[in-house]
Amino acid sequence: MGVLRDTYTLFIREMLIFKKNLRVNVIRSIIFPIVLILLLGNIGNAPLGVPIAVVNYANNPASLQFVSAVSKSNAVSVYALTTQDAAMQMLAEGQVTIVAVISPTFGTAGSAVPGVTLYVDASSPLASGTSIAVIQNAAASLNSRVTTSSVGSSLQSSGTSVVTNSVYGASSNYKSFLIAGIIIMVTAFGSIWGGGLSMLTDRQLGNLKAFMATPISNSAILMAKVVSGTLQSVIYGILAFGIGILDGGTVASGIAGMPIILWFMLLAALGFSSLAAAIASRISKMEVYMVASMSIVMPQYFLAGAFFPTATLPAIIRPFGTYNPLTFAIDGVRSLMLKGTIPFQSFLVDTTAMLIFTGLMVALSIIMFKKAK
Amino acid sequence: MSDHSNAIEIDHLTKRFGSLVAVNNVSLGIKKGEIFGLLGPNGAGKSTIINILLSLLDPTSGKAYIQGIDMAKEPNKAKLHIGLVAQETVVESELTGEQNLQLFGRLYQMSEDDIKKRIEAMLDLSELQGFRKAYAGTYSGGMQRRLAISKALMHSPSILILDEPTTGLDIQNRTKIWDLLREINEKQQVTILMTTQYLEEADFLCNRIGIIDHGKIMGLGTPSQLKQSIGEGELIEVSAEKENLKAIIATIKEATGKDARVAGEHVTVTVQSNAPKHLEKILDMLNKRKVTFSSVSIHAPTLDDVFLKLTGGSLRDTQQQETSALTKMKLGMGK
Repeated sequence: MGVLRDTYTLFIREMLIFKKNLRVNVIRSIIFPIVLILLLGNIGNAPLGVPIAVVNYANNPASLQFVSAVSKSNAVSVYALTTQDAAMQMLAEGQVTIVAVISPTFGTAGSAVPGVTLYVDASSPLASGTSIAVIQNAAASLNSRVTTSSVGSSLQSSGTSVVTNSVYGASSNYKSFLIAGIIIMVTAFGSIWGGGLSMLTDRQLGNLKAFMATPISNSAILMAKVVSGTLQSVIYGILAFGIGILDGGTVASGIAGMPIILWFMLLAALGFSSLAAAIASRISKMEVYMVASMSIVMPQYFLAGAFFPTATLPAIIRPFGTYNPLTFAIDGVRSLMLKGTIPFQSFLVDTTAMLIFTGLMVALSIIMFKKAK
Repeated sequence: MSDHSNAIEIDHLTKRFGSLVAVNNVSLGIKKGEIFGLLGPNGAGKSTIINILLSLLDPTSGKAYIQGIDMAKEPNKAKLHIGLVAQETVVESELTGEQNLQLFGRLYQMSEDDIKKRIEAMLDLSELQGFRKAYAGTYSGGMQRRLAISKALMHSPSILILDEPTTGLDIQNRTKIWDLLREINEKQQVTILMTTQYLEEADFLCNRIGIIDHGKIMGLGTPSQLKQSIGEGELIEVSAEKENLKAIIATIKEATGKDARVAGEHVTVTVQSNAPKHLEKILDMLNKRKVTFSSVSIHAPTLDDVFLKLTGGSLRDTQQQETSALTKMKLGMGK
């Protein structure tokens, strides 16, 4: 088949150019996943080095042992102060999040007074249960009681909201939840930088005209752009996946699920590469192309539920999320990464939805490219 | 009747873009082995004709034949006979010189063995052997043009079409390209069709010239035939401010008995002999009438004079206007 050979020739050309600009291409494509996965994926995790002020009114061996036990923990960093007033001043100024006052009776068995009294700034996002638990554990090992009292305007609501947030916050599952969304989004995003962009620059430089003046079929030009763009996008997706794994993301399905994850990446890449080629067929200005493609892809991050489930979208735009092609791809990948398996029926639904989208986009790119001549 | 033994045969070709007629009923035959130049200002229809010959555009009416093959019926067969050097410097800047040639060898369905052999020949021809592994984007302007020409010749076409091959090049590089084109034409028997807006290029390089303006062929022939067409003798040219032109034309009419032609700020008249005598007389009368002018000259007919006569406008002036407009734009002085 002549068309396939011409497509291959032009595909090799695209990949040589991709290889020549490899560094730029890779850096451009991994900045987004690095920022999103490393920052967003780790938000809400147990913070390290929560500043606490310790006022030791006991100064007996037991209390010194308690302070050193607390100091050893990475979760807190300890400031030793002499008076409670000074410590409360620091708390008021936000320099510390917790003040621990050790009573003179610390370590005395049977004392009615609590050994340690904690004053917690509940309005601070750093005042997590972890740092309080460190203190409680240290005190418990020395058989001393701890009472906690919250300081700050919104102590009650903050206290409860921490519990609510922990559905996504802190748990490593959110990281995997996020990574599943991000790798599909990076794949879709990468399509903009692939075949579409190359078609645009080729037209500007006159390369497209030079190709059309050769006896090759025009469809070979389009196919080479779409196929090379797809491959490049999948490479970007795999890089993003690697970043997610390095950051501690988990894949419940293990290696066995990888072919299916790749399959969904491939469908997303093919669909969006075709869309990019279709846009580039009718647009000759770089700025217009970037705006047009960004305004299609950027909202997808939210509509397709890369950061949070589409069920949490406002009711008016929820249909755009539910019937979004990327939602199906993300759903498939997420199922494998979080649950470990994908029910055959879900796989079928996700795949069918993606195939319909991809088919439509391929058809669109063919129509647009023909018109462009 | 069209002659199918010609390398390129254009038969009553018309191309409209909406209400604009870019090519207006053009018929033209380009003989095998000649260097033919299409000369005209920007927007004259040169590139449109080229694009139709490459089947990048469909003509509104009329036919084009490449080596006797109907472009509309068998475009891919016809394309095999053509090598194109497009107006933009089309080299793949992110591929090496060698990869550039290889790519086009493959697109023209050559075998890998033939491609290898041909790459060597093409690198020799364009004197780029030393730069074969360098990215074409690092080449100088002249090197890129030479690579573009080699690329167009990869599949050994019998016709080479060049759209303004030397636009933007300095004079050394321009003469180098001319030598290269001569060599290709003489040694490899390649028919060359080129467009240009440079008179000296058409004069120096082309066997025959077609002068084109507003989509019509205004004149056709060898450079010397075209020059003779404006008559034997010499040309007297007087340049002056716009408001003085009328007085100068009247003066010339009285002094020589001939009608002068005007283009921009230049008034030109052809005299059979004794040009210095005529000029003296004109100057005398201008001085007496206190008509000021900026310069006078006597010269043999050039293609610019031919162009002036055939189209009523000077190519030199349109170029100057374009250049100054461009310079203003670049310097941010425009509007």
